[in-house]
Amino acid sequence: MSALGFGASYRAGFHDHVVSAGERSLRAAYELGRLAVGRGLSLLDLAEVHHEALWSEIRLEGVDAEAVVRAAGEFFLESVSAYEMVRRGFEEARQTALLQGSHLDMLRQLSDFLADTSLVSDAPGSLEEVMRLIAEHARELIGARLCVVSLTDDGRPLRASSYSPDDDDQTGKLEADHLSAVASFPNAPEERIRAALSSLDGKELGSLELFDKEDGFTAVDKATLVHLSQVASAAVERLRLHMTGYPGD
Amino acid sequence: MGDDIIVSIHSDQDMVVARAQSRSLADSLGFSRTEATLIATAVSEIARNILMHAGRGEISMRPLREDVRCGLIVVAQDSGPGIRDVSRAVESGFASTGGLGLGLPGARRLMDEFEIESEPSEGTTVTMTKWRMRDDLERLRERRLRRAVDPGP
Repeated sequence: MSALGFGASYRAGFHDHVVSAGERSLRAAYELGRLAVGRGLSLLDLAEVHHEALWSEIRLEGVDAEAVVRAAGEFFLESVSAYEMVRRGFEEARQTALLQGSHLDMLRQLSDFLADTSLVSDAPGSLEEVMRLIAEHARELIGARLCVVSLTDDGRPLRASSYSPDDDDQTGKLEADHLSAVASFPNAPEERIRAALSSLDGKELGSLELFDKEDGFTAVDKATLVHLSQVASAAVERLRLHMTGYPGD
Repeated sequence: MGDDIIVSIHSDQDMVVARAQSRSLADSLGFSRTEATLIATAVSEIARNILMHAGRGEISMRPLREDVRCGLIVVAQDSGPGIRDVSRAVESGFASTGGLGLGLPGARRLMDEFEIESEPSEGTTVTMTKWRMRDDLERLRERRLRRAVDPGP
């Protein structure tokens, strides 16, 4: 059906609705909208076709203009319902694309993280360096204001943290507030998420904690943190093995 | 299930009946004209799916009433060939919708809840629900009406 043919069908369908409004004529409007979507007519094209149909109906002699306008509203609403399905599909696809984009970002940052940790040697202070890397990457990846990495090294507690550059002016306060919050409210779920750092044999090496995210942490953030803690645990354990010598060396 | 409305789907004309029934039920539950149109559209899509793939089937619908919300549940059943890959069938791009997001994916997006159960050669059941939140005034009026009808001890 050509654009002209579609216009004629729409006018005929609309005329039927004006003369005898009911579910049958509304169904015809829905079918016309579906056909328009299938033929690639834009919503603007459909609006134009509708306007032409309304105009041809309203200029007829002796017509009840109010009734025609009311009928036009019903008919148009029904015909654009197919466009609403398409619009929602587009929105869903856009959300999926955004999610895929953030997954790609996450993979890229995890890859950067692995590359960075592999550069750290067994020089003195390298464990602290890896901890700082973990804190920086975790905070940036999840978009939190603060990340604290805690480890125990030969019974000696080690801690590294990373702050958002936006919080320069209140860094000290933030650290004090949040580290005390960790001690006082270990399960405060709204402002803090935590994942354990564990060795391959299941022994807890320490923890990775994130504080304060604008709009709060999401389920995806929690899953990302768990994934990151696994990668970080492997990096820490590999470095320790490297520093102490592999069994059998 | 005394509130159930059942429409047999055998022909295009039955689709008109199903649309009319869903619109009338939506209207009685206080859905807006726009929402009622979207419900009628979703019902049309599943009726079309029955006619296209199974030839015949049945659509039933009934109201749902809860304290803070009310809704409309629609169940479409057929004994057709079934759907081999259900998850693909509700994604845009599936063959029968030509990738435009109409058909089952379109119906899913217009409703709040959508579920398909299907086995090859055993048919398909689509269940979909649309909800409407009830405001405080509406609930207050209902409580007053109930008290007026049954003042209690």
